[in-house]
Amino acid sequence: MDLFSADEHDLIVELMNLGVGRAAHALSQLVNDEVLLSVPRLEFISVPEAQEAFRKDLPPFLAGVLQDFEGFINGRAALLFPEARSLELVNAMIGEELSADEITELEQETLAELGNILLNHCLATLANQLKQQVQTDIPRAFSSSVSELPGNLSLYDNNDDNTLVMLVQIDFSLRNSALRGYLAFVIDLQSADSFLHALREYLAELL
Amino acid sequence: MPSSSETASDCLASILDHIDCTELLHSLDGGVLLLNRRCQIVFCNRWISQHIGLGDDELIGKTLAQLYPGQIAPALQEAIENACLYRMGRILSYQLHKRLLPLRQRTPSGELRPLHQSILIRPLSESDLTLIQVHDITNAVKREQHLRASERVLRLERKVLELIATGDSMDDVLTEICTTIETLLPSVHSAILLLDEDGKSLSVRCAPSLPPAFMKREKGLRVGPGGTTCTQSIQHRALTITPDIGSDELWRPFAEEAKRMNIAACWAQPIVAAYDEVLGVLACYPECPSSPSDADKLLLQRMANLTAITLERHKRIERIRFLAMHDPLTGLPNRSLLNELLGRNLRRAHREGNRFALMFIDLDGFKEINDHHGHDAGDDLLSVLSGRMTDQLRGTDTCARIGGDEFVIMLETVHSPESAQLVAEKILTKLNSPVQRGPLCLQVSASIGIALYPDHGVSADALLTHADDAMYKAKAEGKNCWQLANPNGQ
Repeated sequence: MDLFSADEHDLIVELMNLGVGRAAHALSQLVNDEVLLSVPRLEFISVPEAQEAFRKDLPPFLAGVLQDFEGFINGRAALLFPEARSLELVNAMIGEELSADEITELEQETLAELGNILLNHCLATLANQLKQQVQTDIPRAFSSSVSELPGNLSLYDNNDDNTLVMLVQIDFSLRNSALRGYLAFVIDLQSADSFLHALREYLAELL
Repeated sequence: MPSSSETASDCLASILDHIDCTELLHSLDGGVLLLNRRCQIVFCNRWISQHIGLGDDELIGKTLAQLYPGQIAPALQEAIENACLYRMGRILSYQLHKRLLPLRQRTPSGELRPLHQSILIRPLSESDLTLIQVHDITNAVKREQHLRASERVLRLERKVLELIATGDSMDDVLTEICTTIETLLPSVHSAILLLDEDGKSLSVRCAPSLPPAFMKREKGLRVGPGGTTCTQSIQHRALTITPDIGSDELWRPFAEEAKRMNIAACWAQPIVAAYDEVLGVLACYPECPSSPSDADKLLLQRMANLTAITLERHKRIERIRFLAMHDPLTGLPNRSLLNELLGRNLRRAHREGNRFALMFIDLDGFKEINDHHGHDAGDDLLSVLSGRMTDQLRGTDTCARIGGDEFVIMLETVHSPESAQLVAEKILTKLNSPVQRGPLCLQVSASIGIALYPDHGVSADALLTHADDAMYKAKAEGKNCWQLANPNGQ
């Protein structure tokens, strides 16, 4: 989608890297160990395209965290992992070697917090750097099959025409585990204008 | 006319409109707080005042930081400020934040325990208030801990079983069992003590975390009256517990030593194999006076069973190894073991420049015994004669049965041909002496061929061949005598 110019796209990538870096710092402090996060890829696509990307890259069952946001952009953010690996991440975070076969109540909560920290930092960094406001709702952990995912991500019941997905690949590495997941920011297109506007203002100030 | 579902939803809406939300919040089994933009409490439900222990009037208008100066987890403080000021929603999970608010609750037994909690912080979108929900997850934590603990036991058990199955050495498996116990029961040292062959004394076989002094003390603990925990458990065939070594009469002689080794109690679980055979004791030595919980007892029982499996398997393997290398009738080494020992002795003699002797022995008249008195008589005779031969040998010499009535003796070292001949003379006498079997008196003699290393050969084959040839010469010379192989091995 050519909504953004190359410069604007680069700026978003830079801001996301900044946000992810801050999240990594916060997570490292939380677990008293080095947590490394990186963003190898970022693209703007439609919900069906995003679903196709998940289908291609991720196993059929996903675990994730959803969080709604509103402000200079409105929408829903999600952190998505292969379901089996999400437990591994939780266990690595809490320094536990063992994992039960199924995610427990407490692990679900921990996963929600991990997603929460990550998504809050990304959104807050984006807003702060662009001198904008954003607020977030509480996170919800969920698990779903890839085919059910659009239902979870959609802002308007099954009408994806008005939305745009900022899909961010994210690599985690901590305590000998490494795993790749996705951050998906489903943005209400009506608010994309104010996003674009904020980006242009920021770039204009740089010049 | 409105449909019935519209009527129902109108009804519900009007009911909801008239419900006093405050009462609803008070009735919740969890904490609810409403904070304003300055993080001050504007509402708290009954659960909160109960668990904080202050009345509404003391809470309203205060911030949590004011209520608990210096006691609020920094992460919680930061999250509250981020929510009240910047409207960021947040969850604080128990696993990542073990202490959030210093809330306590009374257990059924009346003691105060910290309350395990997770906290949700939700900025309300239609006002500038922030809703804080405190969840009591004590039960979930308990369930989770239980789940993880049983998972851990299962994994460790599986590891031990794998070691047993892959045939790791017995001592490695026993060490793993002790380590497993020590992982699951922190501040407990464990040891495995085995009953000796005679079943009268115990020796430490494995005690990975105890000092060497312990291994020494427990060496040869006599099983009998007046014994301490471990020997008692053998006698009772049941878990025996000494909760406090310091106040136990029977432990008095070892009290000082126990203190030095930092052990304060002893729990001894007998290791019982099939057919109720007691093999030893699995002992736990806690660093503080204590008795095992039901779960601990179960663990000891399971680990003792694994130990029994390990020990029995080891015994069986040893038995199989023995059978593969020995003659079942006489218990003497068989041809395989002889070859192995002969090879070893050749290398050693070569290295150290020793001389050694090989004697090939064939009984004279054994076939007649078998024919006239039956194979049972022959077998008995062989057993007795085998015993007589070994009696004439040093512990380092070998007597092997390599055929029906054929034996080979290897004298590990000899100084001269004469010393080998002397042994041959004694063997001849012993073999020629009658054997009483009930009313029967059985008597045979023997022909012996002697070959010496290096005089008659430097390989196993050459030595055996020359000894065999010399034996035939002895037969030809009239039996019941020995012959030395030809000087140059011809």
